[in-house]
Amino acid sequence: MKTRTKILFLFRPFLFGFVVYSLLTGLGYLIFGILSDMNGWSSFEHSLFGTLIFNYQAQTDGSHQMAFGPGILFIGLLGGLLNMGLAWLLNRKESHLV
Amino acid sequence: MIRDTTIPVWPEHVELTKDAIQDHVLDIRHEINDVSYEILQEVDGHRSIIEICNRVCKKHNWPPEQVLPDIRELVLQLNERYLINVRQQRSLKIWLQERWITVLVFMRILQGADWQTRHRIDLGADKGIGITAIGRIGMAVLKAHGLLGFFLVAITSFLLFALEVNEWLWQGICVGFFYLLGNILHEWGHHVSYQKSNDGRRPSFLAVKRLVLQIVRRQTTPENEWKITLAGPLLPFAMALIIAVLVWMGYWPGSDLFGWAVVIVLGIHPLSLIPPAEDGKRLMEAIRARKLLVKQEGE
Repeated sequence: MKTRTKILFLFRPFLFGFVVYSLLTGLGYLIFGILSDMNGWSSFEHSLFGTLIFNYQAQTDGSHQMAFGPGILFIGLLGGLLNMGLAWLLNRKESHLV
Repeated sequence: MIRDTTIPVWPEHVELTKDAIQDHVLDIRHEINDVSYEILQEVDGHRSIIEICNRVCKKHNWPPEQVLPDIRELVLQLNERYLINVRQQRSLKIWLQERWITVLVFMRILQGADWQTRHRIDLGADKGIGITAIGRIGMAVLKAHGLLGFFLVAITSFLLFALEVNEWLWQGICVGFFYLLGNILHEWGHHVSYQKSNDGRRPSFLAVKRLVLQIVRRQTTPENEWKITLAGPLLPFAMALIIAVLVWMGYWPGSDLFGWAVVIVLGIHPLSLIPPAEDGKRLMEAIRARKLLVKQEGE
């Protein structure tokens, strides 16, 4: 396999995993934020290795504030790497034999 | 995925002759050698690859352990060119394996031709543009997008349930239904436009891969290519616009969130006109062909 093909072979799952995991995390936290507002939950903050993922602040007047942090991209990065790792692992032997 | 227990089946309008496989839809003749003919003669839509191997090996006294990989490779190559369909044995284990492979292919974890199984569904001129054609397109859409439709139902239902929307389950199911309906309308739009753009009806077939579906047909003039390509996303997009107005005016039955989810699954179809999507590629080809024609006329 040529080097360029090899790079593409691993870059594709990385990019796809990055996009999918980032989007799913963002969407998941958005729903979580809406649910928190509907149920009147108290403020919370989630972070990964000190990087903010999501911050929900309930205000005294009943309103709320949501903030997304770079942690979402960090999760996307981890997801991309996981996808790439799996692609490498499962395609080590190019075979269709069962 | 081609397994030893996979059953090869001849698609409609594909004929095996002594020295070639004739594709009557695209009018292409694929030459084959004597050994391939001997093997392909045994394909009857019931025998699996291993059974075919045992039969030809017994007949010609060939070693099965050497012939089996060759038969598998032959079936794989023909399947890649949509010259042979494959059917898996009825087994829950294989069914689950296939769905799991589809997820891994979607995530780009599994890549390459080995993981794909292609299916050709005839959409010939004799099938017209009515119920039969729609039925066949529906079958192809279920094969290609059924799993995504199922995930969409699961995600939307969960979302509506989490947001405490009444009747969340049927609204979630309806989002999946509209997603599949949008894809049926998309392909039907291409098909109707193709059949109507010519003097007589012309044959074509639906090429189904995991998560991918397209109509394979003969090339027409650049003007017709434009019309055929644009006709696909037109119907679902028009439907999305109507539903958007209904939701906005408050006439949509069900929650607003459900309504907008339907608008999104139908309204994204024009994105298929952007390359590298198949419609986008065809559009670019039509533009290039038109430019070439204009240049030639100028000279």
